[in-house]
Amino acid sequence: MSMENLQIGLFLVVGTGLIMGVFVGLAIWLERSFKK
Amino acid sequence: MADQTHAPVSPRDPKKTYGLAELVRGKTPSSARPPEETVFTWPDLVYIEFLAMLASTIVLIVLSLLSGAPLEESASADTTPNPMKAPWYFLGLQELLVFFDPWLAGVVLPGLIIVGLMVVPYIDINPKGIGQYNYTDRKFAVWTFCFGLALWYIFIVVGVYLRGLDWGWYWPWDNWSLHKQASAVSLMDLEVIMSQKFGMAQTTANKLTYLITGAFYAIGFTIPFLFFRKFYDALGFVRYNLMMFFFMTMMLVPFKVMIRLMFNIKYLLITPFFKI
Repeated sequence: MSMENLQIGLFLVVGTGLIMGVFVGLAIWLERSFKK
Repeated sequence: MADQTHAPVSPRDPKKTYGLAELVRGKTPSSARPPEETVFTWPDLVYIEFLAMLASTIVLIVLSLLSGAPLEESASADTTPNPMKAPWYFLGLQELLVFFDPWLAGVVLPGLIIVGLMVVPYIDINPKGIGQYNYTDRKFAVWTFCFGLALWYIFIVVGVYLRGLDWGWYWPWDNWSLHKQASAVSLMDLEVIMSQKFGMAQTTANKLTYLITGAFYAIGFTIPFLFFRKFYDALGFVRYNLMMFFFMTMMLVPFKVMIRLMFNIKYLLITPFFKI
């Protein structure tokens, strides 16, 4: 695996994880905000 | 006639325009909350949605007044822009074309995304969390959907910000006006790699790739069945298989991206009709 491909792979994994984190975090925050 | 100990269920009143027609025992998709903890869709929800729509429209109008549309030069038959990028909302698809053949990337996968979204209400029979923001009781649904969404968005980000001349990968600090040299390592199909590495005939290797792709789906179908039996029991045979088919097809996308990056594999499976 070339260094460039490794960088690309890492970027994709971290990027996907970050975006997922944002949306899952939003879901958790919304649940907590609206829970009685 | 009213019972002496209980109030009448549906008292007769000439001014009343509604009454209890029938009481049956059964399941309902409505929320588990009692009526006093719910509000009507009209006017409460619709008013809020209408105000949100007005606010969004005002924000968009202000934004469009402050910044012009990112139009390029007039189209010319002599010069094709390099790279020829689709609008941002199609760049996810265009980026998929790097990793999948056009039939799959342009027709099958988007079609399955749309069909999958349409099928969700019939597959998702979880009665919890209806009518409210809920994460605790719907973790699998939230994580799966967010993963699919994140995959789509990361492809859009890559297409917008990281693809330059000849659809090469350009980091922001690279020189975007210089053409990048083609990679020294060329991509090869899995069956070609296997026939070269293990010295088998290409037809044998081709059959093996069918097995590998089948194993990918088989492992995906079997793991929840064996280790999360409650999940399978709750869904039932048809819903479970439908759901796992869509789930594994979604997982095929990052799987194929990773094997292309790690092993320079172009196509995992080649059939007379399509290539994965």
